[in-house]
Amino acid sequence: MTAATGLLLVGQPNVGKSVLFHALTGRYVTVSNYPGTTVEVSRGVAQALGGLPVLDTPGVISLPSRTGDEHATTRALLDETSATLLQVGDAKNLRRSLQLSVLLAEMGRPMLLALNMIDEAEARGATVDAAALSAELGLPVVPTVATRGKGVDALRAAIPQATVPRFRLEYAADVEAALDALAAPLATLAPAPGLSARALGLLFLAGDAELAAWLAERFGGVDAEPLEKMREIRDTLQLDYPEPLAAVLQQARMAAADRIAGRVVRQTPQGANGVAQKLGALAVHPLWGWPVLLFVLYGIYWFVGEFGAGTLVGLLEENLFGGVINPWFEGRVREHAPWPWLAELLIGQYGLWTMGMTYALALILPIVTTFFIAFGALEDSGYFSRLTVLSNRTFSRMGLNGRAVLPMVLGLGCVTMATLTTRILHSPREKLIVTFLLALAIPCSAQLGVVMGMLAGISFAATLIWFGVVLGVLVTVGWLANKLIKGRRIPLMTELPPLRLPAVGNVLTKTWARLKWYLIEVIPLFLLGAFLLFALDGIGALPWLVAAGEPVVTGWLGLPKEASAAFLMGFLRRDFGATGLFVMGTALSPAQLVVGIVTLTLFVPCFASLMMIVKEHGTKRAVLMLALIVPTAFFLGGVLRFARAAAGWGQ
Amino acid sequence: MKHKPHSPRPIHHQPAKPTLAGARPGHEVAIVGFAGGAGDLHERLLAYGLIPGRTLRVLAQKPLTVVQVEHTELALERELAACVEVAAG
Repeated sequence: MTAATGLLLVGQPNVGKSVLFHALTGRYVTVSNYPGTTVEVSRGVAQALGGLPVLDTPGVISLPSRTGDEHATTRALLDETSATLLQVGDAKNLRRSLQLSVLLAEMGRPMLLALNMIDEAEARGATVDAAALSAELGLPVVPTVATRGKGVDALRAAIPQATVPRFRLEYAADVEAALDALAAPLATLAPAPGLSARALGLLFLAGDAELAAWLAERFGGVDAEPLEKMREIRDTLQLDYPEPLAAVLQQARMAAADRIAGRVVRQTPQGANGVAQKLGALAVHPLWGWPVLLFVLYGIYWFVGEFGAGTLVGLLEENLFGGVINPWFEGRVREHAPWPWLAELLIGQYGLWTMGMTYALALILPIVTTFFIAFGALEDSGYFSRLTVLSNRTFSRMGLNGRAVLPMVLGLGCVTMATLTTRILHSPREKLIVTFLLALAIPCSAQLGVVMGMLAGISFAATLIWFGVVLGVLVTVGWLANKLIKGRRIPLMTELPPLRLPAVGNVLTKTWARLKWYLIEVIPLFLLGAFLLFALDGIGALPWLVAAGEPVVTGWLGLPKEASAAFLMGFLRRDFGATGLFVMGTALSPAQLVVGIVTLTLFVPCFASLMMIVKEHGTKRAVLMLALIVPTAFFLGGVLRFARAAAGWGQ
Repeated sequence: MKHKPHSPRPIHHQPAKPTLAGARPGHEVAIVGFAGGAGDLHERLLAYGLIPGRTLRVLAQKPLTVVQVEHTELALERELAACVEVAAG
């Protein structure tokens, strides 16, 4: 037994790492039925194991790592050298899981394998002999059904027993020779104990970019000679093979996994497909997929739009806040506030309570909550992966592939959250395009709620114009970005997880986790926004700023100069801006409202998502994006105004 | 839609070889090998369990090629499927 100081969960995407993490630590990380939900390493503590720290990592299909989230996993493997490895494998895809096991088992540290989703494997007629597999790999193997907590106790009991596996995979003779030759320079580079030179050598030969960065960080500047020698060894070995070394190693591991699986799996033939499989096939059908999508969209529209933004907002905003809470609160403040400015700060036109909290709690919260519930249910069902396939063609015109549908749809809930999720994309180019499109043309649910409410008040034609312009901008800018940004499009390859009925508990926990994140990010910004407006108004800067915006807002967009305040608010939150237009009410003609709404929709992303763009892409790119988005929004708003004037509609 | 792999090696470039992109839905095919494809495509295919010698079931060809490997359904674009050489299983 080794004194491990932590537990590192690793495995392929969508095998249940995060569910097990939750079971072991009680800490919740977002879980869903599609690959790529975990985009960075999460930390927790397993109380039942004497406070053992537990780390959850993003899924890796295979090593070497390729995407940003996979790099995070390699980094964790390299840095957390004293942690026990817990590989989470998918029992129904044993070969694929084992292909990773045979590499991890040589990392030189205690390891065990949780064979998850054993129920789904059995439902497909596959029985895995865990004891035989344990003997093959020389490490403990525990069958689990993480979503139902089965096998978790056995796993907990097995963790302290884990030892360094006795497994060794014999690669081709020339590879073995190269690994031996690499051992010497790796030794002079003195990697940490608990990180075998052999595993490092294998990753190095495969050209893992994160390992290269790690080596360069540690030793690059000091003494480049051993690193140079290692590259020589790799280049020489590569001469023996027509295909990349990574593929050569991968094939050797896959062959080994195939042999092992052949010895431990008993497969009984299966009968006809179930309902879920038929429905799954229907959802990606080139023809029937679209009615299915329309049905799903209608369901979301009904739940979020009608129920959330209509019924719930009506109840909360008009009845609860407008009728009960706000009058009471205002009465209290008027009675007790010692200074008039304090009353103004709390309940004035831009008051922290009347503007900040009321918007946040009565208007935005119900919409966001219903959206997250709907999104969670879709995730849990496995429908999103099908949508990836269905939307692939559309996204291919924007230089993307269907994977982009996930951040885009999530953006309709919260653009900030979606910007973070772009990490599941495969190339920096895709990340950049999606982030830009999110910032420009995807309205978040908070904004959508207000916008849809206003448009519904004008006419259906207004809604169509708004939708047409925003969609047109999305597609055109995506197409342009594809032409202008260097690099190649990555064709889609994705797993389609089985369709399941969403589990209510899982959807609710997930919604709560997202809401909590949202409230922590949003409420302070709402209050900050209201406070800034109050302060600007108080020092008399507001009229000045409104006047400064007049040439653009009145001259170009043809809106009353007071609308400048709405755009100013839009800098703080996009929905804030839309609400700003909303309260102007009859001061705006329908035509002016449409111009204002379109401009605001395209206008800058909210403050929080701007911060996220800075974090993910750096200040330079964030500023560049802003510099492109703001003029684009105003330019198109003006074009729309003149086009409508020329068409003679709605003056 | 591009059918040709990006950087085919001359030795593999024999147009007569059937590929996964041409396999009919509902049929089983055996993987013979890989031809062409950019960068890390081979490794990714291998990682998903598409290894030479293995048989797969073709579930659909539109809008993407969908195959069943072990118990996983995998969807891939034609451009990628065209890099997988197959024989009737």
